[in-house]
Amino acid sequence: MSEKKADNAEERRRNGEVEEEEDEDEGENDLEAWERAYADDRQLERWISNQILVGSPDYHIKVLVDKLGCAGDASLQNALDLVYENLNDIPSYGHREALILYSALTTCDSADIMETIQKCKKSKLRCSIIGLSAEIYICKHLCQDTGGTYSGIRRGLLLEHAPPPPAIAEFAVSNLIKMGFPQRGAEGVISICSCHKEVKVGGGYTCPRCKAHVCELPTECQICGLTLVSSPHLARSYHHLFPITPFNEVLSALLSDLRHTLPRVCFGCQQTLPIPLHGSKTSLRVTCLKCNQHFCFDCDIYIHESLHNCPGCESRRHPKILNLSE
Amino acid sequence: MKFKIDEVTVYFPYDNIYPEQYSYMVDLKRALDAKGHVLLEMPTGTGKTIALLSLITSYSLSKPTNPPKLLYCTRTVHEMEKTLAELRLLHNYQLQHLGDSARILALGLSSRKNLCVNPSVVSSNSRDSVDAACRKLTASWVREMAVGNRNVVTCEFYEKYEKAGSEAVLPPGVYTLQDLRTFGKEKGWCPYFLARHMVQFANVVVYSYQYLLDPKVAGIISKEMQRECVVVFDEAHNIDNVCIEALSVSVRKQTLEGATRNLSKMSQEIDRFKATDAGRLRAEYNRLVEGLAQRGNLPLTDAWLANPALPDDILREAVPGNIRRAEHFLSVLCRLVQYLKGRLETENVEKEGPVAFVASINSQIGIDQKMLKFCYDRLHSLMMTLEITDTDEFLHIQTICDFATLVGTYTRGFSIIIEPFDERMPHIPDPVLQLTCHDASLAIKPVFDRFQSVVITSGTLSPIDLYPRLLNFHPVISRSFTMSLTRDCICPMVLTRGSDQLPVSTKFDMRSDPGVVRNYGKLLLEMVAAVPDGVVCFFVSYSYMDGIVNSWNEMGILTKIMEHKLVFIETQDVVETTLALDNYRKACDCGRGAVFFSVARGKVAEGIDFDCHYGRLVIMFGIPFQYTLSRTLGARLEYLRETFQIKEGDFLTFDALRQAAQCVGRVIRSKADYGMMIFADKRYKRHEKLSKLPGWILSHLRDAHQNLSTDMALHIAREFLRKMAQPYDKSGSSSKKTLLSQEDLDKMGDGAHEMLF
Repeated sequence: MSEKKADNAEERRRNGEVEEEEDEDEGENDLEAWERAYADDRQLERWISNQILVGSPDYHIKVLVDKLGCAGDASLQNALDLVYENLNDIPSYGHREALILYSALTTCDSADIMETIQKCKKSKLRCSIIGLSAEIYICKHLCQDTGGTYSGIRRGLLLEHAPPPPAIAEFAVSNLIKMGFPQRGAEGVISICSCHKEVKVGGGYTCPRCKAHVCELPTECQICGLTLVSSPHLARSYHHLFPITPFNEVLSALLSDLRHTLPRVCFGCQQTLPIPLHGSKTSLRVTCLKCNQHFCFDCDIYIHESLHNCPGCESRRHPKILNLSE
Repeated sequence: MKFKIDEVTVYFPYDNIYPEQYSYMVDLKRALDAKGHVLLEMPTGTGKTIALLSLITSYSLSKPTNPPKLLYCTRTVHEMEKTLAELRLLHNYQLQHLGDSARILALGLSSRKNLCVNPSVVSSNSRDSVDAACRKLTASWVREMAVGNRNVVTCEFYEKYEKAGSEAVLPPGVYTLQDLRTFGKEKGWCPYFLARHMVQFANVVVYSYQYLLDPKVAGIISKEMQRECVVVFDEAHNIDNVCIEALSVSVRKQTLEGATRNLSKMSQEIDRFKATDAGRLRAEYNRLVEGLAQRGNLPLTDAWLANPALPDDILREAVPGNIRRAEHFLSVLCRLVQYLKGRLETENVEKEGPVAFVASINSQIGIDQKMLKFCYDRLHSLMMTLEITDTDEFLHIQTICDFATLVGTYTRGFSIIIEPFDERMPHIPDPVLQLTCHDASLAIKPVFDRFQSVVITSGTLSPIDLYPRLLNFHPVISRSFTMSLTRDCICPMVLTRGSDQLPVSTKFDMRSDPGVVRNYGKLLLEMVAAVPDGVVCFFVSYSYMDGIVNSWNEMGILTKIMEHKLVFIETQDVVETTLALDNYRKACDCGRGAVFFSVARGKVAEGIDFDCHYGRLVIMFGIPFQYTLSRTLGARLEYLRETFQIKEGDFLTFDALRQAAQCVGRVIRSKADYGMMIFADKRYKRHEKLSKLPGWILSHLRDAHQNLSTDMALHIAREFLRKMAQPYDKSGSSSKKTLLSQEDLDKMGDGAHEMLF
């Protein structure tokens, strides 16, 4: 259970906070400012080193907003170098990913950017760029080379980047890491948190190993260095890394031939599956490729967007696990 | 995929076909059936070449009894290689489907410089010196000498090729120049002579325009092609200029001085022969008496450039008596050179027709028209007799004889213009005597007469009705195709006003106005700040470009441009320009962005592609009219008006706009590409100018974009770029198909192609 990729969460979080900011005010002037935040390297550096492995989105938003002003020519290479330096320490089971919002039309680099791109590619740093103005070749090239996506600006695009990409099989190697699952502190207890060195009343978490108090999960314990997560974090990143394959629509021809042998109710909600009109092409039902159970469209959406588990596959897997434990 | 057009099964090596390719093929097929000539305009990036090749080869396959041969003419070696590579793909596909019966022989033919494999020969740097070095090793008399004398060097490749005799053939297949060289090296045969030999048997020959149009070259290479040939001129928008150049000669002071040196060397040779081998000169004399201008069937290696006049115009009679003897002929040439020298010393510009010129030669130095006419053949014969192999050194006297023969042969369509200095630099004396041809139809006429179908095609042939008049032929089909696009990926704009709403133009009285210069600068400045990667600018001439860049520099506009993009500039030096282009590409690749300043009618405008990110925007500053004060142009315009009833203004506008279209067409090289084109001159908005642009540009030029100012153009550019950055569906939406699959074509069946357009 604990061997899975919790570390990707830290990288994801950066995207997460970016997208929240985007939701609050969508205006072009702010977009311009975003590019600047990235282009000015010194501030970027401070920002990244501050925020790495801090869980709270609020914290990130605060840091970003504070650091928006900057000046000078944009340099994609500088930005990439910094991202590379900061993410290179992440263990191999984690995802390295950079989402760049770029609105300049040029990049003034001090050295050959192609080498930097190769470096990123080698360390499996996935770079995605959202171009805020016109399409620039080097950005597209960077994304293609590192396996990211390039897109021109449009509404809701940042949100599309929020779910993490599925794990790439070749480096989804299993690995054991130590993790703590701290308990939430009781209400009304006064404690000094180890991250801000401030007195807090209630809330917070306690590291199971050294009993230190932290404010937010996931994080790394400041005292003993243990990675602290909560189980929903793990579960969520697992779902994103290994998403359920999309369900296939049942062919209407098949339906009319085998009407009697096919199930009549949706496996998810147990409601009767609607019977399509005669001659219509859609059969109004989908089927999971793995367990071959039939679902209605509502359940299909619910399973893929919220549940992230296929009831059919889960119920089939149970007896197996029981067998193993016997 | 394979599909049927009428009774012909067409093999097409890709799974999908563009609708315009399909209708292009249909039209081409009809023209081949009618055995007539065609004029087809189709935008670049729509796969013209493959459509042509696959239709014509499939057409030949469907006529097994008498398959027509394909002669494909390209402008450059690079295009030749590209065409052959495409043909190979097609050939492999046909072999897959038809087996061995589809086997053809296709090869490219180029000069010795591109084909020679002998390291000692090919190391020479110019084309003429490679030719001469080859002759030195392979001329018949050198080889005869080598039989007796071991110290005489010959070319081992040619010797081996000769030894193999009739066995030296190319097995069927598609050969690029590189393949020919490899094959030649492997077998030890000379690829050049092998290729020249195999041209007679090949099904497809790809070579340069000159091999058909220039009578000097066509006479030895393309003489024996049968009538059942389909001749294709690709990228033929400048074909009239090629035709004219093929029949024009210009003589400068250096030429005449060189000719004098050549003559004295020849007279020394003659003296030497007289002393040692007088029989040889006498034999030549006797041969000339018998009326053989040449020595019958010359060995292949001795064949020299043929007569510069067109085959039909060459007299088949004996060389006139007074130039039969070598020394007499030399003295005639001496007098001619002397006369031309005298004419060059003039102070004023002189213009004369060939008839008056010949008459004055006759009255002053006593050389009549007939003697002039035979100059070329006589010189050729003499050089054979004197066993001269270093032909590159005798180029000057050859030029003089070319000139004499052309002047003697033609009375119409030519004029002789003597200019003591260049119009633009009146203080530097640079006398030049030009024999210029005005009639493009002269050189191409034999091609139209000899071959059953001639296809003239290019991306820019508008207005399409002018070409038949210029080239004097009657096409059975002339058509202009538009591009079917999944999205509006080209955005032409006509910019007439600057940001201060004052008109901009490169009209002569306005071009140096600082306001116009500043407005142009502002336009570029605003555009480089809004357009990513590469921007290409075309100016009307080198001098104008120098002037305006200088003023921009003084105004500080150039420094501001450099903040956004690096600036590169085309010069008249080829090496410098190549270097600039390389660095321009690098700057575009690495994201720094760059601007390239270039000149319409220059090398870059004709041959370099700025596809994808290398050219997102092209700005045409002004209308690239020819230099209208030039005497040669004036004479040509006059001739066109008198002979073909083409008005001066019409021709000039046509010529300027085809150049402009050519320039802006550089940015779109495929359908996935996108780019903007700005025509920055107030004169473009007039209907008579705009209507001469090719249809595929016009169809994207909205009415609202025909009279813009800088700020409006900037706004449109921003919108366009943002739209183009969005992903799109490559195969097109269901309402309008832009990619047809096998099924679509089957469904359409006959007569359906009218539905498409």
